[in-house]
Amino acid sequence: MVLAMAAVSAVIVLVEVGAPTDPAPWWFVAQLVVCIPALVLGLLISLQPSGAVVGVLLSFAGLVPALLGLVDVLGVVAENNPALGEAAASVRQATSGAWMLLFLPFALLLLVFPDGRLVSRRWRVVAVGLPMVVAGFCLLGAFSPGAADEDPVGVVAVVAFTLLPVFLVMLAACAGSTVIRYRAAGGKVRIQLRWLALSGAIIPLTLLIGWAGDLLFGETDAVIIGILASYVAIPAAVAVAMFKHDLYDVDRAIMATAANLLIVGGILVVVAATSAVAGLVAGNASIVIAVVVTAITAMALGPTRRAAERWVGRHLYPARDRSLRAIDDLLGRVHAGQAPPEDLQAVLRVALRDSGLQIGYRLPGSRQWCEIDGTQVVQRTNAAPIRMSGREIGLIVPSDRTADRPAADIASAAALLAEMVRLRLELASALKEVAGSRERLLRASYSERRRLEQDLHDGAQQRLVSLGMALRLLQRHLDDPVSTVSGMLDAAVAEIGTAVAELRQIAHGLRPSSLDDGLEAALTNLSRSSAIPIELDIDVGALPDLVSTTAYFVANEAVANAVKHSEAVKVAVCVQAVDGSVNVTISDDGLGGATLRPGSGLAGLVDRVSAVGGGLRVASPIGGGTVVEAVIPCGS
Amino acid sequence: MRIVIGEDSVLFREGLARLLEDHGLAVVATAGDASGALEAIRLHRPDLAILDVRMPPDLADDGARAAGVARSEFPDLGIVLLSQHVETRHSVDLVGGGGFGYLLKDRVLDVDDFIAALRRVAAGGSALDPEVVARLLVVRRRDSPLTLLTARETEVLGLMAEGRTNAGISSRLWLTERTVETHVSSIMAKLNLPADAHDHRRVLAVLAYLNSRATAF
Repeated sequence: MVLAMAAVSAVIVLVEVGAPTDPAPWWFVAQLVVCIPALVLGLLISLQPSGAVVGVLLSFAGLVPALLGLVDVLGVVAENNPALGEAAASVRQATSGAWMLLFLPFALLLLVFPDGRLVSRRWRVVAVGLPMVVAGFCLLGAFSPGAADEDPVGVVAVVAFTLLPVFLVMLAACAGSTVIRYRAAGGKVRIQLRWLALSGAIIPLTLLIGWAGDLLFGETDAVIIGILASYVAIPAAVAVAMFKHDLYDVDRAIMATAANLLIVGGILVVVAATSAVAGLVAGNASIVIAVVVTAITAMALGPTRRAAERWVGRHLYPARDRSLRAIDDLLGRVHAGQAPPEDLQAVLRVALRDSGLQIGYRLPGSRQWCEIDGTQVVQRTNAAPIRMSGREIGLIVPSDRTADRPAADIASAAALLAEMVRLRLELASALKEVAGSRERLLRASYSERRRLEQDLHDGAQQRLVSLGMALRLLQRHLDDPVSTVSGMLDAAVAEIGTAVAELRQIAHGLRPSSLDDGLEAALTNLSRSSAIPIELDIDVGALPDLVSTTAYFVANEAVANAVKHSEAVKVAVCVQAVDGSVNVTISDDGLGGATLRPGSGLAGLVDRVSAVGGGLRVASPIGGGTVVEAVIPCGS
Repeated sequence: MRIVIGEDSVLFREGLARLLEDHGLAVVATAGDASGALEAIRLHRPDLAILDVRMPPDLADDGARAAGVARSEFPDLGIVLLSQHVETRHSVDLVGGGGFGYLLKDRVLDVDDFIAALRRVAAGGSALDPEVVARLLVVRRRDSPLTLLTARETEVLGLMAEGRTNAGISSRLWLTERTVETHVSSIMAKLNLPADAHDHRRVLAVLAYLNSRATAF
């Protein structure tokens, strides 16, 4: 089918090349040129998946005027050649009913746009009937003995005139099918149909042009401009709808077009009225008056354009108009300090008559959309993104997944408020995080103190008291044999040694004294006492105490985790200075699957590291070892 | 005197048992946790139980709870709780009941005094750690009747609160028992407490007084 279309196009191009030698009317060339957009775009659309039917119909729409033009050319050629006079007459005769063909592709397009399917099976009647009516009319035209109006009482003429209303009813049915489809459809299809509706504005425009021509020049030939324009506008709109329906806010375009049509209509009404009055008063020489009146009316109506657009908006898209005004009102109240920007969702719910509408905000470090209370918002195809300087900061999500996507206008009007809300949420979550981290640090330090207290009480203190008791006992046995006393003293001294060792261990848990000699010394110590081999790669100079202590505890905890839970064979600790920060990376070859469970040692590290302004990440795929990476800013 | 010791640290437990036995006291059983200590008490019916406050299984106040159970089962059993650190309110409540002692573990090193306290408790008296008493004697308000006491009287009051008898106080302060009696009656008058000749009831009155003041403010 597509190939056939291409072939026909080639023939037409050939004819076009030959056209200049023919004494064809000027509009014939225009006719050929005008059919090009429909043909080319139709071809492209037919290559799209699910675009075959629409593409073919559009190409067909382009072919019809070209074919009619071809027939006209043949007729003219035949007329110029007296020998073919008879043939010319018969060609004219044969194509007298062909004008109906011009409507056929567009009508069928209305039936199947945009997915190439009928709204329901019932519409088959129209889809089959309309071509039959057109074909019947053409055949009648071709085989009737003379022009229909020359034989008003002929049977053929009667049939032809009965076919005409049927044809008109079917055209209306096609338009009706589009309305039904629009009502039933949602989201994308609706937008596509609106593009088609926008291009349909060309019809009233053409009528207005005809009227204007009649008023100013007394003839309606200007209509041809509208018809030619429609052959550009309709294919263009269909193509946009098929390829990129969200290219531009179609609603805005529709509003602007409707407003402009209103204005032009208004101008023409005024001009018509004044020229009628002027014709009565000043006789026939009224063209100058008409032009002057047109200019004045146009100037007068110019400023009303905005008002007209608003009026159209209010009546064509009441929800949009309500929303924009509600947002504007909220902005004013927020500015005056009478309302929080968080009211945005409530305001839009009322304006868009959607009590389940949600506004999702993107919080830093999150890929998800969240409501103010933290509820996750699911992105849908009919959600309208709110953008601020190119970034998507929010999302307006209608509760009904088949509802229209909220207009881009509403989203952009809400952008400032949404950004305010987002920043406030960001601040609140940051403060909450800080408070949470502070509390966790405090808890960690309490539990550390508790452990320490327990260690001291149950360990060293207990040992010292026991030692005291041993000495008391000794005191009572001073008169015993020297060997007994000496043995008891040995035991007491050994006890002191153990107590000292315990105290040293406790102190080391507080802060390893080897840190005094630098991070490297402390980590070397750590590697010596570790149960599994630690590979050290340390490339930093002297560090501030806070940094080296934090780095040490990160390494210590991560290594302890690896030893305890990962079944790792070896651990590598790497410390490097990068851009004024210290990167501490601890990787093991163990089981992986480590997580930052609240209350775990690793989670405690996150707080410790963020308390000094750094960050900590854990990558631990199951079976793939664990990598703990901390970045600790070095300060200045 | 027959004694049961409940204490989780082996070192301390064995050390204490040896020390007490060396001083002629009979340690009939030792246990490493609260339930073990209770079993030993039920089995041996000792005169006195020495219990560590913090013991397995919970390593919290298991010893104190076991003491409560033991007291309800054997009202005449003397109980001395040993603690690593001072806990005022709880200890006073316990000791106020009589037949009870609450001492820091270090008091063990002052062996004679410690054994005297054990004997006192076993005889139905009380023993409150001097550290706890010191905290009770802190003057919290300027109009407190405690400010009316002389330094010596405060000293005597403290020793009374620890649970010592007049004789104990007089030997401790190198005073005659008569002088101590004079101080005691003066103290009781100044604090508006009933003069009672009986040592034990007197201690309870003093403790109740001090404790009520300590908790009131």
